[in-house]
Amino acid sequence: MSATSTKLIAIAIVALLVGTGAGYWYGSQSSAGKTAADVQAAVQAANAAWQAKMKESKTLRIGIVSIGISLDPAYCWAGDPQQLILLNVYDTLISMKGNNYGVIYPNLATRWTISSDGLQYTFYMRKGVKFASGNEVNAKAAHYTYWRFMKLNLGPAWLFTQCLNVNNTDSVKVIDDYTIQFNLKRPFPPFLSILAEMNGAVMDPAEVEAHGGVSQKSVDWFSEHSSNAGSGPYILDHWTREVEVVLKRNPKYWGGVDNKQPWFDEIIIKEIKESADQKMMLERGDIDIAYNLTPDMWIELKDNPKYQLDEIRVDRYFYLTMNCKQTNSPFRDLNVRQAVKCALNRDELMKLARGFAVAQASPQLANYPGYDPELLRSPYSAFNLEKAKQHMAASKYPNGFKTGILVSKTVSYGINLEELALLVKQQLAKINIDLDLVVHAPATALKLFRGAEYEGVAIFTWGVDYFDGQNTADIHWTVEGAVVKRAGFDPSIHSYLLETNKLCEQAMLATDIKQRDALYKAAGKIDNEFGPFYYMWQAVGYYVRRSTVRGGMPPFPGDRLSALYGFEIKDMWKEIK
Amino acid sequence: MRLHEYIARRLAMTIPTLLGLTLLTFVISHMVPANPAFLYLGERATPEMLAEFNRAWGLDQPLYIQFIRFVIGFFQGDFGTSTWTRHPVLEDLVRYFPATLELTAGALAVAMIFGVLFGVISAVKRNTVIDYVVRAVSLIGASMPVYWLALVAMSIVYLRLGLVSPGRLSSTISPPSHVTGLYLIDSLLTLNMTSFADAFVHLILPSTILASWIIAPVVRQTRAAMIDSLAQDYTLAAKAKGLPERVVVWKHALRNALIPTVTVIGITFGGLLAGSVITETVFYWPGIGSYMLHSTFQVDFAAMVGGTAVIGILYTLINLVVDLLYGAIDPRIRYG
Repeated sequence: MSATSTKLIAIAIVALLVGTGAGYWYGSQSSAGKTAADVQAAVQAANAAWQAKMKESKTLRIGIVSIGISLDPAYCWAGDPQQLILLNVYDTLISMKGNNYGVIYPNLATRWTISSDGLQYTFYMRKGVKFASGNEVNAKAAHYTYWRFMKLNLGPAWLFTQCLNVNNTDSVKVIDDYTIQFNLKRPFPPFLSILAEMNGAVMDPAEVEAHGGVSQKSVDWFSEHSSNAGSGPYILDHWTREVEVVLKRNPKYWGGVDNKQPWFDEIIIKEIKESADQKMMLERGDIDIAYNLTPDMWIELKDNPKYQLDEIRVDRYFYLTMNCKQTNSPFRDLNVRQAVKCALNRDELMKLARGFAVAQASPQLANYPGYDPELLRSPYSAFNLEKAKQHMAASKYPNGFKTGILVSKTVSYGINLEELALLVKQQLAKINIDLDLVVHAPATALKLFRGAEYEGVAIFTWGVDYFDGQNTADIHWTVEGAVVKRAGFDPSIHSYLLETNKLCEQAMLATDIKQRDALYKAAGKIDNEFGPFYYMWQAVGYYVRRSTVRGGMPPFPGDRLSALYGFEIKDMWKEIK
Repeated sequence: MRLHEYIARRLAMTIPTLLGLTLLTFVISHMVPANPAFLYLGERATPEMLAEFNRAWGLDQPLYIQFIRFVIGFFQGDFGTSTWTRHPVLEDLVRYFPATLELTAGALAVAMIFGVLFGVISAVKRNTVIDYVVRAVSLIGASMPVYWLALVAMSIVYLRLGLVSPGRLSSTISPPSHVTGLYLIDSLLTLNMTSFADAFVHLILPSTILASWIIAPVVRQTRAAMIDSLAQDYTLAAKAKGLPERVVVWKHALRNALIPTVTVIGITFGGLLAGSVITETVFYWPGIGSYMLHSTFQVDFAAMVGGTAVIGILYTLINLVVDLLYGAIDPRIRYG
């Protein structure tokens, strides 16, 4: 075939494609009775309206690296982006705010009672609250929502099933139109914390049924939309993954406990992967709040009056685990574990965080029951190289040994875990523990860690699932604790675990918060001396906003934001100049 | 062999190539010791929950059964369902692919236009200052990491000069009505010239950055081929006939030098697709690169294999177009 024929064929193909596309589009317009001139005019009007809306500044734009897996309350995990969105789209029976553990606010429930044995929680719901659909928020809606959550049995379902019996219909029970009752299978003081989180969000049963009911189909839908199933100040209009989440004002919002409507008409949460981009967009005003700037950027911006840095106590901590699973593991030797704890210099390690960290000697975070800053001065928390060497000399490995350090290829709150592992390696080399660095992608590292299939030690972070010390006590100090299993720790070999387990059980029965605090502190001391964990620090971070965006802080003066609850978006507004 | 027979044969050869590619991707992705069930069900997943997840997503089946199911589905237009987005993978690819296509097409255009232009200039002005400068600049572009270059470019163009924001459009411009997902095409089709202009402006910088590292081989290849072409007898004859230099260079010499250049462009197209991940991340360009990256971290097998297959198809088609272009450039070439 000649070159001319080839060219003609190519031109014909392109013309056909263009013609098809244009024909398809114009066909759809003319079938709606529109001419090209109509279309042009409509396009120009739409563009002008969009520009006007964007310039009006009643849109709050937030930059976040990633939203997560799902925005269905039955399928999403505790994490700042999801909480930010879901706690503004749905309402919970009760609320917690900021970093203020223990203070519970009424929300959909005006009051509640707890039986003396801690097994029965009764909530009296507010009358006259409506979902965005116009349907009433009542006990039946709450009942439907919580049963859907448990029946779907997806990742976060354990939050409820750990204390509610899914096979007992009385576990969640409607008493009357505005009274709902929970009958727990065991005393569980953190139950209120769980209900206050996004997984406790109440959804409109009619809207859920319209999108599949108690099925994966509804999860698919509600992962990216809320329809009118929420009663919060905003409706989740859509989530285009990797792009943005758009929340639009709920015209039927009841006003909340303070009977107040939000100032912003719309919230756009953009998934901006690169911190440098978030910073540039913040500086240019294309976003109003940046969630994921780095410590260097915080330092650069903190004295600039154009920006406000809001400190967040991230409910996540960094810790090292010593694997005792193998029978020949050196970490089965108590002296070795104590040597490691004395050889690690937390202050030096924390320099990686550049001051954005709060030192921990137990898994109980600041403001949680059991938080014990005194433990940092214990013989097994404070750095003491001489003592470390003495422990090694007294152990079965006086000349040291070679093993591994597992870490995931991740940067968590500005800390490169690989860098942290190298520092740990350097420090433990001083007591002749030679660590081979084993770095894996996050999914792989997690798999190895969960199965205790790593040799030596591992560095990970843990983010709490709910705002209560029981969460971390359970995983580190009980016989069935998730992280205890990852350390291959066994009560038949390590009898201290039976003691901490007992203290945790007692804490579950304690109705007084001071009593729980004392019990967790006692468990913390035992873990500090005998356990296979070395706790490093709690992450501290900042959300950075333009100074023109005001409000949104928790109600207590000087209170910090908790990453679990984030801003009070409803209370935010923007200065328009 | 006629042209249409050649095209049909090449397209038929795509099938075993794709099968091999998807098999390789399938095997490699499953060799990674990571269980997606843990990622989606969390730390507290019970063995029963994990088993149910694996059963629901077909991950409890032997690998060869999973692969066979994928292949059968593939030829029926079903690439499976993404465990991450919970959408059909094909739907996700249709959503994200246009952005990457637009970006890589733009990068290819930049590379071709400027690579060929600089290569010709460099050859014509061989061993002069212009030649040295052109070669140095193109090498510098190829030597700089795309990630760093992208951030520096953004810092200057967006932050300092305020010329263009990250993303496919400005926040004050509404996207054009969806026809193809390619903003430039859709804007033209829907007479939305505001969107067209804005989308075009937004495409310039990321395309240029993405093209930066392939311009150097195009320049060098063009230069070498042009030097050879300019030394040929037909070029001498054209000059002897009194033709203007620009006609000699651009019509006679360049045409003969284009074949190796087009080959290089076709080969480097795969690199453009790979490099798009970084460019998409820095420029807030939600394309298939960032989708595939996220799928990898989420251990989303269906998305990984489906996305790889689509990229493989595109790569194969591009190389077919390159081969067809040979015939357009050099009428002596026959297919078969």
